[in-house]
Amino acid sequence: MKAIFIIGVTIISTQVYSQVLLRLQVGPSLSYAKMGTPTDNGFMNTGVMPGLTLGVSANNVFNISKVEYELQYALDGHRNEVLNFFEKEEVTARLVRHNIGLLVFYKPNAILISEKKRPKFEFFVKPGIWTQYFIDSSFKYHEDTTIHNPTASKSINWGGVLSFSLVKRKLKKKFAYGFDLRFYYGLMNLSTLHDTKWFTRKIEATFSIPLSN
Amino acid sequence: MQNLFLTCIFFVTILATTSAQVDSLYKNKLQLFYSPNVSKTNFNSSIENAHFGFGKEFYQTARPSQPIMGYSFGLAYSRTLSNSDKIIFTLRRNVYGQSSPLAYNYRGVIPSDTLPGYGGLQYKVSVWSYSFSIGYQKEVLRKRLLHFFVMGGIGIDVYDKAILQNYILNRETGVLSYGCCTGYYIKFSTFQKLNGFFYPFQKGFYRIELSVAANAQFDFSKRLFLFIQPEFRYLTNLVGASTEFVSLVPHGDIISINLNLGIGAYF
Repeated sequence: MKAIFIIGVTIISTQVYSQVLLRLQVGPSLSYAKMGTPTDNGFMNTGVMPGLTLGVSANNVFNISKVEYELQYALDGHRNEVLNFFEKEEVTARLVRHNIGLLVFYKPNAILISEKKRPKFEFFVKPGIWTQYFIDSSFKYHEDTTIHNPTASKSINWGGVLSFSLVKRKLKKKFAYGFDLRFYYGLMNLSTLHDTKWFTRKIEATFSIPLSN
Repeated sequence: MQNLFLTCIFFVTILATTSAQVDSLYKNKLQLFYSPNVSKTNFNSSIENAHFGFGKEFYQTARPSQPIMGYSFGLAYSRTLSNSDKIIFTLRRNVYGQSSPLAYNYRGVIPSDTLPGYGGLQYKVSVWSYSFSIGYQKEVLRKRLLHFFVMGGIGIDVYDKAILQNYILNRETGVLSYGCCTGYYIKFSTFQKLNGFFYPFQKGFYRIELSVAANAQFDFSKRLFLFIQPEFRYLTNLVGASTEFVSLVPHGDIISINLNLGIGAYF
């Protein structure tokens, strides 16, 4: 009975894996935070901080081609430039976060397909949701000691994401690379402080290459 | 008033004479939209001379120079004049403003004795208004279900209310939260809006608006469509407002870049 179960699981796993299309995603990002109070347009945007994203996306899992998953590591956060400082003209306050994230996209058919010119591309618009867990975070203000795990923030985050994806069509043995431009819109209030809201905003541009056929 | 009446007659005449020339099945469009915007205003004198005293203190700490994120929402009606020309009427609610950079030194001192974790202050002026505009829209390209337009318009933007808020960066947590003070400029109450509708016009509390935009429209059914419309708007200073109101109503011109996103229907 046990042997049959193992064989069954192995066959199913093989079937699932053989159909999955894996892609490696890597690219830079720009993130900032929207903070403040929800009344009277009382939000302020922090300064933008550059970051990095590294992920693996999977399509056609269980033969479902309309859904795409991505597991990613992301370095992001926000920063502020503080002017009119006593000893210096300008100092920096920077919050850095290391995240593990999971994204789920709805992937409809390609909107535009370029047939005439080479290379031939397909263009997709993919809405999705994302969730992140902060594995580490730190805040540094000027020359002060770096503070890890700022207590005013929650440790998970989630929101919506919209991806514009340009993928080269696979022709013979040519390399089917792609580009993604993504907009992240954080829906979770990260602040633990009373009367203060904190939302994530991020733009990400990634380059992708296939890991499987 | 007479000029306004003549202008209305002019537009109605145009509509009546041109509608018969149109081949299209539907001649009217109604659109609902929301548009995030980035705006930059020039309210410096109204911050420095604000009737609430701390406006001057904030202004001396950090001079405002940064644009802010605002929004507009509203509805638009367009009427076909010919196969590629339309006239469009737009009514919307807007939020514009400007913010200061984050500054640490508060008029030469640090207010850290009263504010633990003080890491600098920043303030923002937000203005709410209603605007009405008339525009001309020309279809420059049509590709199956996609339509592309260019458009320009002129209108009036009527002041409603404005506030100044300040924020403090906590240097232990990185959180930018509400600070000590909110300053209120003149706000028109609902009673005033209903009973003194022409008061803002009499006092000159309105701006002239000029706008140019590009519009991409996607028909997803026979009657419904989605559209995206980047738009540049310039609003003049308050028209005819007396300088005695500088401390009570933000004076200055406004630049706003909008991204209108909306849904519309043919009828």
